[in-house]
Amino acid sequence: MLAKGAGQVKILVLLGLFVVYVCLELSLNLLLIDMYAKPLEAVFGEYQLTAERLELFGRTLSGFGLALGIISFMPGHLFNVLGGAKDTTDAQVEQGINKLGKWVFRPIAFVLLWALIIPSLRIVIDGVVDSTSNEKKLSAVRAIVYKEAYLAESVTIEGFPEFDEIVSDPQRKDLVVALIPSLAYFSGGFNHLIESNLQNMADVFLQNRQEETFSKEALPRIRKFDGIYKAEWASYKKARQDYTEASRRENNFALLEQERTELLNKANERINQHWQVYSNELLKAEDFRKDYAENENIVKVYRDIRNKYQSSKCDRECRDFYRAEFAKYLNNLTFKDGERFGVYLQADEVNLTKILKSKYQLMGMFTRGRRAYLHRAYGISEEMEYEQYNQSPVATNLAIAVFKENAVHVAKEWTMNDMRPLRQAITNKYQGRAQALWVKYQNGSSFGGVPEKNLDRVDFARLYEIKVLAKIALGPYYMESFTPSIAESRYKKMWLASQDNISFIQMVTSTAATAAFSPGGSMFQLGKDAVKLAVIPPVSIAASLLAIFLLFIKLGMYLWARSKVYLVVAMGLGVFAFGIPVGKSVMGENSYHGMMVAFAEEFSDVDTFDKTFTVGFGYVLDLENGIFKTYRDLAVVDAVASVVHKKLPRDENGLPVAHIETTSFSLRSYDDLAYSVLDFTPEMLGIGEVTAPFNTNITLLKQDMNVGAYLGIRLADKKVAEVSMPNFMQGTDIGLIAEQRLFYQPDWQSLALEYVSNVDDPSYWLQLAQGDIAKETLMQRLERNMASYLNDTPATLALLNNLNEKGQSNLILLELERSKKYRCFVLGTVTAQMISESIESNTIAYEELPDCKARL
Amino acid sequence: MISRQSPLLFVLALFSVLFVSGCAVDKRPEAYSNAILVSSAFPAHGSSQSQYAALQQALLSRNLLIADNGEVLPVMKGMCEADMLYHISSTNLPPYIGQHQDLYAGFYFDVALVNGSWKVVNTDNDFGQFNSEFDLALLTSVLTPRIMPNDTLTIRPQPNVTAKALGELMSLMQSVFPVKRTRFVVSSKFAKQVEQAGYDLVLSSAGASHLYLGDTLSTSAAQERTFFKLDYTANAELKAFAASEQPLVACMQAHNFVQPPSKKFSNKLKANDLPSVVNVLPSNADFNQLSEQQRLFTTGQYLTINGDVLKYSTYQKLQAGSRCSRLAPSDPLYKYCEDRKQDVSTDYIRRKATMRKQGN
Repeated sequence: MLAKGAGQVKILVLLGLFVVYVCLELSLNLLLIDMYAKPLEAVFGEYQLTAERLELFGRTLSGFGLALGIISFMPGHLFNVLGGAKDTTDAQVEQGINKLGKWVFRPIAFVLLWALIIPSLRIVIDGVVDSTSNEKKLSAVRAIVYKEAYLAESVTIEGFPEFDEIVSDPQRKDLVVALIPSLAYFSGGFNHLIESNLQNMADVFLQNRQEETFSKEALPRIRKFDGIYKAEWASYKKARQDYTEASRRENNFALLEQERTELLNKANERINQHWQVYSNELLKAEDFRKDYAENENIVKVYRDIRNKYQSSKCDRECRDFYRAEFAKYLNNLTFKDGERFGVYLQADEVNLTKILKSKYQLMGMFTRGRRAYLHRAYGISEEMEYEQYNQSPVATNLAIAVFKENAVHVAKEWTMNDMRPLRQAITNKYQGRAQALWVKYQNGSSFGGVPEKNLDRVDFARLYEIKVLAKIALGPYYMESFTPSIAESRYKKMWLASQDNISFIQMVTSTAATAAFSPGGSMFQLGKDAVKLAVIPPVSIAASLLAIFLLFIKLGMYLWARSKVYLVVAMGLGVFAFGIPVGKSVMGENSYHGMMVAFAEEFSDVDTFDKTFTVGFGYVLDLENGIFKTYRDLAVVDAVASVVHKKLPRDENGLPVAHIETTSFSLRSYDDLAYSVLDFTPEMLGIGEVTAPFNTNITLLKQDMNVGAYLGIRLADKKVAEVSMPNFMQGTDIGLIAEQRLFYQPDWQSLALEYVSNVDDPSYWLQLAQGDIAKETLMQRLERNMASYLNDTPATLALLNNLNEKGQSNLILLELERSKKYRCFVLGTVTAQMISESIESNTIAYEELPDCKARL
Repeated sequence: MISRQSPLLFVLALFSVLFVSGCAVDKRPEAYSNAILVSSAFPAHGSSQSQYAALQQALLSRNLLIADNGEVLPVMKGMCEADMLYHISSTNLPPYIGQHQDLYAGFYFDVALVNGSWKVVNTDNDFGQFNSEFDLALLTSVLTPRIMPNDTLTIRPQPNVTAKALGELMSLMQSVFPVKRTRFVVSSKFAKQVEQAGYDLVLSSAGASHLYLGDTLSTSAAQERTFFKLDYTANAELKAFAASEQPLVACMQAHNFVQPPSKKFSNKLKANDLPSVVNVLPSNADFNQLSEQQRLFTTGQYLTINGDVLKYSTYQKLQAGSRCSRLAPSDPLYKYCEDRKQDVSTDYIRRKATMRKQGN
């Protein structure tokens, strides 16, 4: 009973552990799909740490399964290390393992094996990747290019719209995107399809990017310029019209005469009015005296001063003083509102006697003071008569004042019959008004306007100033062919034609690029990344599926012997958990295997393996799809995801910072340590040779933007020590000939140049093969002589040294038309994420070197 | 109010009141008149002959004026936007010289030393050959009664003049004419000598900061001599020119000051009297050939200042339309008359690259 109960518990524990393991494998599987369905930019960027952790998690889990598998398939007696076989009971003899072996040595061996497998997997992967041939690496790059383009929905396969439908369906997209690189990599037919279309793809991507740049950057600038230009033309037109009108006004004798007559009439009127007001006021001079003379305040002041004046003590001087005092008082009198009385009395006119009542005295003084005031105020003397006044300077000055009020300025000496200066003064008034209007226009113009006053639309459009305006508004998008009237589409066409067509995709996928995947080459890292990305994710995904499947079998075998009931339950659960979703997926109308059969018919027709693989891929997709669809939102998957996920550490500016590895013990540090310890094995096995990177990798692009050659250069003591020109024709007959035949040619300089410009011309190689051109082992001779040639070209050598100091290792030389001169661009380390960058709108950070002196 | 204490005192008081206040003063005139005579008097060189009265009014509205001798002239000095000098090459002066203060800024003449005495000569802009000389003294007698105090004399001695001869000329000119300003056109080597003698300087070739005599290319049949000054941006600005036979043309060449016609020509216009013709003649017409204009008027044509016979309708067409309305679409300049075609979309939709199976 007890033993039976213990057996039950054991089974239940095992089942529990099995469920946990399956859940973990499932999580890994789904997370891998999630991860590799992302663009490379994200995988290598934001999710870099998460991807690394996922990989370690995967290896740990796989290591567990692998170790368990190995241990359980190992004969039990192998663990009877301490020779305890003699203690074994009958039951144990059956299995050939004793208690110690079973409970101590076998677990220890299991743990050790597990620990060994974790780093070993990494080493094996690296070894496999390193030993991948350059052609396979190129295939992997192509596969990655396809995946990225497919993910970005930038590529479509003619006659196969199913792929397009999938990628635009977010439910189905992730799975296919994550797994498609393996198909593209392993299927020769598919890879060839990509290869033969890469040129076209590169062109389309490049043009997309350029056209998008034009639409997003250049077009708003052009339209902004149009806005400014239209406003400028409108303001010019208005200024031109205003100027013409004002200018006609300036020199118009009829108008001038009209104004002169008006001014003279006004002046006459003013002169007469002046006299009229004066004479009327004079007439009224005594009208108001009575009120004032009875004013208490005035009378009081008068009496007061008169008393002081009359005092016996007041002598002549004192009397003069009081007279002046009173005159001052009277002259300064004002009304309540501050208006002056308008009286001017001189001191000797002041009457401070007591002959008459003060009222009459005051009345007399007011009258005299008023008259004196009027004479003074109107500038007319007491004796002057109207006729005299009319010809007097008073009248003349009034006329001059009238002119002045009308902005016509004549000299003080002007006389009434002097019409010439008056005409001149009127002319002067208008002179310059037109010019002033023009200056106003110029000040209001965004480019300071133009001095020409009679340009028409055609002239205006062709102004140098407008050209400058356009240059400023368009900035880097300005070309000489730009005019204010050129149609946008026409200008776009011209602009596109003028662009540098360096295509990253074309560069890395060119057949000439094969050589650059060699150790030390500029694309060594890219090749490795590509292989890993093309092979590892699908293999891991498939492996985890396999692991789940195998474990089911193992569990089934175990339960078969122990408990049929549990077997039925477990298998039922298994079928329910996996069989039904998968079956549904396979049977579904959107099943992948059906689609892949069609695809294989069309494109994977290289060999039987190819076809089988493609169809098999379809079934795997169906299988995976069933699981993925059912379990992608499972809580345990999210939990594992949150454990594995680690944000890329960033500084305060949001820029990624180097991740500092924890020094304390962790799985990661163990993995790194073990990896470095076991590092020797690949070398021992003769795979994965380690080559130091070149100081500079030169990519020569020919005029047609095709890759001319790759050169790897090592520098020593500021000199070119070694040039490596990998024979990227390797594998072809011509390449073989180039390697093997002995050639000789003394003029190696021109030979090197010829090589660069004719490298992909087979007839050149045929000529070489026939010994027409050179007579030595061509590659060696070329490499050797290229080194001395570069050393003899100071400008290029200086450039190489300069780049080396700056740590820039990729130099791209673009041949200028019909010359041996080059435009130079530098590029950082070539990595796989550049592929996704170049397909997405972000441009690759080619940096053109100004004043580049490279000559070959 | 009046003291009743004493009748004597009352009389005294009354008297003194009258004394201190005086009688009211009335200075109102019986009638007001104009202090300044408002006349429509036109500039001095214009004719006030009654036969020209209607024509004169028509011309005045175009900034023009007819002189007593029937010559049509600019109405006023400022019209040309440069000083106009009368170029003396003979002793036979037009009748309006003497009433030229509103037209000419002064006189210009070339002088050469011939047989030891200074002669006014007739020569070209380069002072190559010269002829029909007459004595400076003769000029003095002809010009003195007609010269105005504000006139500027501009005298060009022959280019190969010696410093001594120039000195003599300058001292000779000292008291001959009652003018305030006299200028000498000399090469820069005599600049100092001229300025030290108290005269104004005109350089015989282009130079900064001084007026200079323009080269032959800048002259015309009407503008016999030109005078320029460089502005601060080194643009040559026409400051003065000398004319004799065709002052109107010379002035119009400097600046077309003729006001646009007050009436538009049409075939319906019947009146072809001179004032009516003047009213419709375009701004570029030759106003000194009025009788010819009158004749052409009936055929719907007119004579331009350059001597071309043009249809009124042609002129009107040119005035009304812009160049763009006249350019043929095939003309390379036609494109500038059009607005930019906005035929590129701002939101670019990326094209997909299509992978095709290659036949193999």
